[in-house]
Amino acid sequence: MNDVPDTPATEQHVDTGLSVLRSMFVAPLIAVFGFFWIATVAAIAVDPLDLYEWGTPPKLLPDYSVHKGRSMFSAAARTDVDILLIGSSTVAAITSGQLEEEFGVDKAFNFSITGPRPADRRMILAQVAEHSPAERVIVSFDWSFALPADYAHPAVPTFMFDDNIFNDLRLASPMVIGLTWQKMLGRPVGLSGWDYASTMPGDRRRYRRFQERMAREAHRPLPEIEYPAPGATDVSCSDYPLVSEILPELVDGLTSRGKAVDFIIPPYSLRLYRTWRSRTDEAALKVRPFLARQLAIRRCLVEALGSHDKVRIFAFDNETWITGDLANYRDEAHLHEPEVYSFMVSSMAEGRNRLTADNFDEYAATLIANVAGSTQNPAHDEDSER
Amino acid sequence: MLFTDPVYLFLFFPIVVIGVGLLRRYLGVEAVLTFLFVASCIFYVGWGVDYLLMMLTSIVVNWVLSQILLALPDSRRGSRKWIFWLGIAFNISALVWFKYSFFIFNFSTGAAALSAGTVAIPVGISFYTFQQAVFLQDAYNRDTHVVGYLGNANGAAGISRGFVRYAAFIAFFPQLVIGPIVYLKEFAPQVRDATFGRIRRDNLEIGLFLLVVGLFKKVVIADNLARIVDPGFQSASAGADLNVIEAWTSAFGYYGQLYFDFSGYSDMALGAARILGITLPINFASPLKANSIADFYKRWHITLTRVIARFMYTPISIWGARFASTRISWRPLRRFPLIWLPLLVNFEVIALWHGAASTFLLFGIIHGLWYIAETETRQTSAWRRWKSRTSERTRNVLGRILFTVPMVLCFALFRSDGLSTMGTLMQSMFLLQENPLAGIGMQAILDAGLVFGAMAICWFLPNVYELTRNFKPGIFTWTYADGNTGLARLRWSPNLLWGVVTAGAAMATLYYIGRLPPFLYLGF
Repeated sequence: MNDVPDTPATEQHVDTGLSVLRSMFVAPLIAVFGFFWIATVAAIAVDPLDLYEWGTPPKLLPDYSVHKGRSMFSAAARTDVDILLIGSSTVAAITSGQLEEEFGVDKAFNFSITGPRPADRRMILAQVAEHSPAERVIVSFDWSFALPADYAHPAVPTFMFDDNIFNDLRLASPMVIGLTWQKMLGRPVGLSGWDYASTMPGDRRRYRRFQERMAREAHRPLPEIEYPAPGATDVSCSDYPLVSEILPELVDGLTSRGKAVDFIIPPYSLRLYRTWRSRTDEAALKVRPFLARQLAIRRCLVEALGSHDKVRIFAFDNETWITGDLANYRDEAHLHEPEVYSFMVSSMAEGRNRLTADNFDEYAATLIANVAGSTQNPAHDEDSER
Repeated sequence: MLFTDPVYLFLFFPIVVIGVGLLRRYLGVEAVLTFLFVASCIFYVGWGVDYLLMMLTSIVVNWVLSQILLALPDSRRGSRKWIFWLGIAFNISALVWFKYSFFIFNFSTGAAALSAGTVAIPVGISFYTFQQAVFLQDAYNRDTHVVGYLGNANGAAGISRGFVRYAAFIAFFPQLVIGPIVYLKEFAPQVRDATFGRIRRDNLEIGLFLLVVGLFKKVVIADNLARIVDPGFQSASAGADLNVIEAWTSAFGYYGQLYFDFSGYSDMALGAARILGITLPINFASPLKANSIADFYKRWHITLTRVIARFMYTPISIWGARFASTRISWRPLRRFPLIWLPLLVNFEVIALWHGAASTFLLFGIIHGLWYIAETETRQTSAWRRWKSRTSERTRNVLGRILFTVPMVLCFALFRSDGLSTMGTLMQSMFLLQENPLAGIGMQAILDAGLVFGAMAICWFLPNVYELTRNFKPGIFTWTYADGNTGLARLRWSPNLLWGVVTAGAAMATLYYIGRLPPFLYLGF
């Protein structure tokens, strides 16, 4: 093993202190890093995303973007719409047009990001409560509400919404720098929207592969799971403080400002409840046993908010033409069929498929029976190309 | 704080560099070490105050034990040995607790999920624990560097100075989280050097170059490979078939991703340390150019391999030699305790260090057996005959061809979240599914091109330490043959041209800097 190496360069360059900056090698690097430094500080000073008191809200162009989601948190919360959907990938394909048509409003916006976690939801809902002019807020109540309340997605920019301005250096990106420039030039700042159609080829591929796989596994029995008792009384909602305590506070924040709040429980395929235990990622492990925990958080949601006069909860799990037919899905959790989304949106607009304290036990018993009965994969059309 | 975090790059590190320079000029080395220790704590506390307290506790315990070891006279050999093993047990049990408690508890309740990634492991615990274990052994052996570096422990001033020096060494932020694992004999002489802490032009140039190259490897190459690799492994995990191109692209892509991610971090560590006046040991030396598994482990995660070899392989091997010479009369069987057993234990420990997963277990077994097979093959007369008849170049090329695909498969296993995922992937790779060519489109071909472009960088370009070899960029643990043909002859120089090229790489990096994905080895 060598001892401390002597550096040959020692003999060549002995500059110390500020004189080191005279290096021709270092100069271009200082220029690049300096530009980035200045641009980032300018982004904070100009505040194109309206994160600070001195900012002004950017205009959010139609439809949503999962790719630019992290920069759009603030804008999404402030955008001038009648209906704001705060969702996840399971409802990402609901279009603004569907919401506008079914609810009869001028402007709706679907802000769905991939894989949101409880801490992210709290952050965005707090922003929405404080800033959004929307009359109706729709929240997708997916499986991740069973995770611990402080669980956050690593890609979600919590640093934007804390009190530490230094960590806002992370804001810097070509997009934010571009927006800053636009704003400095006095031009209107609009975050570019994104048409869901652009991901359709990828989704179609996923759909085709999933269908092929299901065809191969059609005769393979599904794994058995433990089924909770339909009228489970041993559920303690204190185990789910996010649903029983935090969410009601956030909802109060919304309703006290005159907003109506709808919760939509994304209809997963029945198969998912049987196969969840094969997932070994950290988040998936935390919500096992899946069926029991999902029913528990849904029960807690109904108990906490079901009687609120400005809150409605919708569930489609027992529409077996949806959840029992894998031809509707591009994987076990994500729907593929636009018609199903249309049905869900129109049901919400018309107040159908509501989940209440009165019908919850029946809903739970039916879902458990349906999951237990889904012993083989439903037939589907192998040649279907959507 | 991550090295790729703009807060680190644009705030923390510049402040530390300026602070170190000013303190060195006006207050001296002790002030610099104190400042570096405090800065390292600030660097680390971002992962949690509890993790910081845990690290500080570990530092205090090891420092106290090392002081006792140094204070006890040699005549009290038994006590010294007892103290030493107490320290080793403390360090190992801390590691085992955090890496395996989840597994043990779940296993005992019958809900075993033999999976890594489910344990909240304090960031960097492996690296600062190994470093301290090595230090304890040095203290036990009364290594001159230990005695000299800690100084006289008489009086409160002496004790606190010794502690700060020790803590600054262990917590030194460039190497704290993902290594390299540094020996005190590499660190201490540099601190005693008159140039320590002075911001020098040569250090700044080479350090910045290493820093930018590391950033580029991580942010531009590794993270973009991840966008190709992750969907492939996720699909395999879900049991979905991949087409043959996607499967091979995912496997090769992960091999490249892990290398660029991990070695990028090491380059950044060496760069940051160098700017502060410390040269760290090199952790990666073009491992993807290896022509055998023995060659690979001389080049991959070098500082961990040497620690494991020191604490595991060598003692077992010595024991094995004694055992074989006294208990085993049949000559061929002697190789079992002498070579095979130490190798198997060595590789299994390295593999299971990554976590309690069946894939890691198998990874270690395969590597152990592979290493044994290779070692035994090289002992045969047939090999020697073949070696005498062939050129080194031929053997290198053949070795690389034969070595690469099995190693790619091993790392695909390493990446898989279960054996079934690996099974699905291999079915797709080796055309054992119904429609292996289904769904091959432009995207799959483009992705394959990007992955093999990244692999070509590894295979045909000199690594950053070869490029900067004339400037001693790091401490070399092994001697490597320099590439001296084609592009491998390229050498770095601190001139305007290289400045512009490096600035271009920095711009590309800054384009992606906001993504902030963690380093793959943070979880280990």
